[in-house]
Amino acid sequence: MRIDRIMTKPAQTIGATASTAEAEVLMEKARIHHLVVLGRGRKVAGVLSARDLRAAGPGTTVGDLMSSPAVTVSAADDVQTGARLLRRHGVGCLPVLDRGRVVGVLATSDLLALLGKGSLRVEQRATRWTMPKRGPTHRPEPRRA
Amino acid sequence: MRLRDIMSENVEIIGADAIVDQAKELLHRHDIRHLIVFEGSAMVGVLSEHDVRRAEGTSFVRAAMSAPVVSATEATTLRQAANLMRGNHVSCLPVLDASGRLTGIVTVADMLDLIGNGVTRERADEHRKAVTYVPGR
Repeated sequence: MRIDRIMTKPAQTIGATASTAEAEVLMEKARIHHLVVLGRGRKVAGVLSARDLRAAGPGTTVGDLMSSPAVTVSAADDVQTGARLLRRHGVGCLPVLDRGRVVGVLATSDLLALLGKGSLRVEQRATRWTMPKRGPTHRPEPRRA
Repeated sequence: MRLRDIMSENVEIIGADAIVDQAKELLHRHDIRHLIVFEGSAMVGVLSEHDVRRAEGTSFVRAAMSAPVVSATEATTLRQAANLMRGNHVSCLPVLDASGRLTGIVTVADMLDLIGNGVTRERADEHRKAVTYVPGR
């Protein structure tokens, strides 16, 4: 299944120079925990989470607290790739890009929702096994002369 | 698929009257992110790495933990578990057996691994144990 079928869209974005107070208001209004931070030329500069905002003080900007560079994923990738990226980088959400433009956000909760609805079946694979020192994966040691 | 097929069985517990520094040490030593908090024989909360980071080192685990506990049973399906996590905004579920004893834990990371990599059945190892090859016999 492609990511653009299940992602949260549109993505809530904020400029890197905005104040943390603005970010807080935006998160509260949209009832979300992550904002995609846009830098120069509306390119993704990072991701700001509600947890990052705990370190906010007077005069701090979004750019000071965001996690950067952001781990992004393409809209055409499948959800398995998204899950692997979320896991490998230990992040809660990934900005989804389509030709360099942010089109949505893939969060852990989107994947849980998919699993919860029963629209995603977990693949069951069996491992290949061979007897010790037998089978196609075993390379015998070269004979000594 | 049910939680008994995918849960991690090495779950660590801590007393509610321990201090956060002890919990931090335990998380670090076992390289895990969640501890189940007990008060006597009752499961009273979950202490995550994030809770620990937020709390002061000398405060009690009781004050830093997330409570009440959202738990599941070994027979809970993957689908039910995903809904439990999402509905209650929790990142892990302690898993109990039929008699209510804590036997394992399932975290969001386990779910992401399952979606990303599928599940590998451990049947191969069972076979390996059963068919022991002894040369010359």
